[in-house]
Amino acid sequence: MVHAQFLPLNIPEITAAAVTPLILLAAFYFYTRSKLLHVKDVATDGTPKNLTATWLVAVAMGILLILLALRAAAAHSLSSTVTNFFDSSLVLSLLVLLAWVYYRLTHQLRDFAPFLLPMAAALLILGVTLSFTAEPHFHDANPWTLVHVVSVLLGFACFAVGCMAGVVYLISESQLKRKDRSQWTFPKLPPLDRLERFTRHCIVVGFPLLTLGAISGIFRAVEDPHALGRDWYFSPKVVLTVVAWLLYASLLHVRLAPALRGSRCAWLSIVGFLFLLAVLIAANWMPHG
Amino acid sequence: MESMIPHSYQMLMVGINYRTAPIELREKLASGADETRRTLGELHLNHPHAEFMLLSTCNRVELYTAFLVGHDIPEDQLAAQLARIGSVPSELLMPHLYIHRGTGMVEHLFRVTSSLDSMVLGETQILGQVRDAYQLATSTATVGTMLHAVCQRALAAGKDVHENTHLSEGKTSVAGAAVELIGEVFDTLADKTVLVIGAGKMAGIMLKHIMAQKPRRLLVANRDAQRAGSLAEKFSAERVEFSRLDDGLTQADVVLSGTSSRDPILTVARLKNLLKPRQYRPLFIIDVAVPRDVEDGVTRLPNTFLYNVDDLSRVSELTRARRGGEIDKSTQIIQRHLEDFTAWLAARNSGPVVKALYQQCREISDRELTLLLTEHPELSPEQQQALRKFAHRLVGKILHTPVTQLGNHPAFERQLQLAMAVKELFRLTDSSSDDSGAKGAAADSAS
Repeated sequence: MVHAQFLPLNIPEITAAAVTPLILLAAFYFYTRSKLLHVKDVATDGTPKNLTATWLVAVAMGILLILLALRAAAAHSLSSTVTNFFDSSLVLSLLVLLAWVYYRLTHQLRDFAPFLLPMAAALLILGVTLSFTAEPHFHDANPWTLVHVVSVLLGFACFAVGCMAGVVYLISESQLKRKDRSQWTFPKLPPLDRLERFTRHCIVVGFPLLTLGAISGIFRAVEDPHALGRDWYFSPKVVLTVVAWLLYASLLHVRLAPALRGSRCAWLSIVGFLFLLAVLIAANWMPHG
Repeated sequence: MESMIPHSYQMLMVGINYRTAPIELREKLASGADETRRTLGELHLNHPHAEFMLLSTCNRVELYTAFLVGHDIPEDQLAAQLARIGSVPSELLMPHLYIHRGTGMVEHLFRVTSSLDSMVLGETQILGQVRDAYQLATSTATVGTMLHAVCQRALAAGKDVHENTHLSEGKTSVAGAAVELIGEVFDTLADKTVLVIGAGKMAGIMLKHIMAQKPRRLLVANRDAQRAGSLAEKFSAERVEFSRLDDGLTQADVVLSGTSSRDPILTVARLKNLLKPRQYRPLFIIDVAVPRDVEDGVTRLPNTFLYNVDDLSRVSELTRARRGGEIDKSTQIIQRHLEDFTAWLAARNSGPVVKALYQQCREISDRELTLLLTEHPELSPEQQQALRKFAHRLVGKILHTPVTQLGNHPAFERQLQLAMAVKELFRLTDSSSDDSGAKGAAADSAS
């Protein structure tokens, strides 16, 4: 088994990755200040603030793509690029921003799309923060590794989007329960039932990916006992994954599902995601179990 | 041909709208694209020095014109033309007619495109309708420099207002606010069930608004079977026995309660028990009863939203207050656009007069200077040059104040009068005489 050297980060890379969240947060600020969140009318979409925000996100996406390309070039292969949390956070951020592009173009969830920006920013901030401790958690020729990385990242992105939908649901619900409309921070959000449906869709798509990621991870661990250590099944990474998996499974469970409606579904999507985040951090710190 | 200063325009519009004229009259005057084109062509034939645009929607019929000063079109002639469209006698039309002149006309069109003059404040449809009317007039070549400028600026002003204000936001009636809040919870009512408890007047008004959202089912529960029956019949609803209200509540997504009961009908305990049978589906309750039908604590139950009449009127009042602010904001935006336009117009109207004035004065000074220099051949070239400079400066100094006054005059009408006065006093003749009507002006603006 070959363990790669950690692909060292240079100052420009870290700086670029640290500036991008600021750009994304600025874009979010412009969106929430613009009419997008105030008015349903499609005809008034091209407000200057809105356009500024869109350009800012485009710039952020450009930076991320260049960063990833540089990292891939330095690692000499795409598959061995995403071997630590820093690189994973770049990919995850980009995936969340791709979701932003998609929902920005749809009519149904356009008012929700800007909320994906803080999520992309948070993932990047976490990536940069943890980059100083970053080590490659795996780098090998095991075919399960590729399956594991791809399915985990895609699943994670789904849950990240679902988590944000949950957050927006809770914001909207608390606004509605507070009744005093002058106090509403976000006067125009998608209807609650639409947000809930969307949260569930994210989990329905993310769940098989998470399952595939877990199974391929187990195969890897079994085939290569050194990768995670001997007692891999008790590693925090595995335990936390099982907890998150069970949480999401409960949402999809036919009997349990009805009771997990509305705010409960929203909370579950948030808590589940936090567990997954813990898994990623654990994997980053404790690559060998 | 009478000599004149080119491009001094006057503007005029006559029209009727939903405020001034009944629908019967508006219907008669409303015209389609072909008829509009015919009318515009006819007008242009009779008044080749004028520009025309006809705005015809279901809420208004307005004829806009700009003509060169000296080729004035009397307003009754325009009114008669409008009457001809609908084949109605002018006398019948006259009482419903409004007339705007000069910048008043421009301001009116700016208000129209901003929807401030619309039946529904904040609607954007009118912007498209004005654009269509403008394009139609352009295609019939009845629009020239002036109406091009007016229309383009009106469209820009309208767009500015729609983009930078929240005019169309929110519903101002209590019932409208309720429907809007339901929309915050439910995507659509097409697959939802609405339950009405009681049948008060307020509930009836509210129900009409909710029914406009076309819910899948409507259930009616009332202690008075007869009243429940009549309401059920009116809205083709299903009746629920009052004793079986829980069944109705289990099925309902939206509950509208307006009974005259002294005690709350929907208590926290009752709805809490129904959470499970309802499978925790969201429930939106509107309580229009006084005293209230629904206990306040209900709002703490999961996925349950409660709004009573006070809550709803607060929401609608907020919308009204915001709208008031938005109207002020829109008016300010319009004023800004109007100032830009009048500045442009001032430069346009006074420019040729000013040019002709300078030209005439310089010609006089040059003539006198030549005469002086021939009479005094002893003057050295330096002295001659100094005299030339002096004459040039003198003309400039004398004309400076009147020209500034003319160019910067705030009132368009007054400025036009001044320009005409200067023209008359100095007997300014126009070297590049221009009798362009719409076509000439159109070419002018295109260049």
